[in-house]
Amino acid sequence: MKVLVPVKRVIDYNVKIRVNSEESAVETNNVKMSMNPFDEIAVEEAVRLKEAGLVDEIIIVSIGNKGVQETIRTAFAMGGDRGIHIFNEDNTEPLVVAKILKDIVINEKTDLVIMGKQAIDDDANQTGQMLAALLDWPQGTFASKIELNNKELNIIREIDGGLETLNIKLPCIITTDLRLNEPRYASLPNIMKAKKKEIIEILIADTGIDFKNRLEVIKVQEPPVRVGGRKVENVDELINVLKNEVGVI
Amino acid sequence: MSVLVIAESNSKEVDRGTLSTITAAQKISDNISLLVLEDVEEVLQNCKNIKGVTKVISAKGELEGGLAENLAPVIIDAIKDATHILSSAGTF
Repeated sequence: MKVLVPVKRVIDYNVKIRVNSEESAVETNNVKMSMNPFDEIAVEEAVRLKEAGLVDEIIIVSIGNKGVQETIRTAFAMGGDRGIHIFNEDNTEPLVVAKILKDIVINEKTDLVIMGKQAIDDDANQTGQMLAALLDWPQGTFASKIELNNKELNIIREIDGGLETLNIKLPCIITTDLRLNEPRYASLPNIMKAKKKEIIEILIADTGIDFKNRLEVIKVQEPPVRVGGRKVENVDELINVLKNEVGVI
Repeated sequence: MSVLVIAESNSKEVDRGTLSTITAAQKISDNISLLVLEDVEEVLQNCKNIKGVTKVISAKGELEGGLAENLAPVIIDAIKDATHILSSAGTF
């Protein structure tokens, strides 16, 4: 069985996010980029299924500029087998991503897609659900535990009020939550091996999918700076401050 | 313009995320329909009393555990008149 794992290159989660001077986007020049943490969990889960002998091949897909090949190599170092890079210089919206993934799933005849529940840059939490809808496949979102036996999967989902267990049939889509597993660190020999694995490059214009962005970002702003509190001497001063300085009473 | 808000409910009342969504919907239109995906009288009564909601639509029949696969066709059916669809980003 083949499994598809889409990965997204995002600003590293440890980096302090800065807005560019035109306030049109988040600054990505000279900023450390890495794999979206939820996608790392997806890769790890796929590798574990392969180690358990339940999966034969792990295909990694990423969409973006030249830099995403580095992210695909990171996934190779963890255990991915083969890569597909859809080249798009611009940002790709979730619906377009889902349509591209749909075509790849059909062409590659994969039975399982494991992907992050959301990317930490735009927090859309849409692509997995859209892909499931486009393929008309069952979906197990926010998975915190997966058991695969034969052609069925038991998935434990993290929902608001607790945990929910679903039994779904393959082929299906799984989106990963934080507690599913702890991704491994790639070993040096595996990082070296990753350099030799194959990545197919496809221009987004050649996919035949309308990739025009439908959303326009009007403005990006930093959150307002928080002002610290201060101590007042007594109740009279407090009332004075509330009345004359803050103006709430 | 008309907005369809997809309600998240727990057989008693809608959750807070849905209430926030209704408030957001009011910025788009005064014509707000609330789609409740369960057929429980108590929920429907509560929904009728939410400020800003002009119409409550309820899904009748068995929806098998509220799985996305079963709910999606119901929602597609309900969006015919809507210009905007809003829902909260829950784990529903």
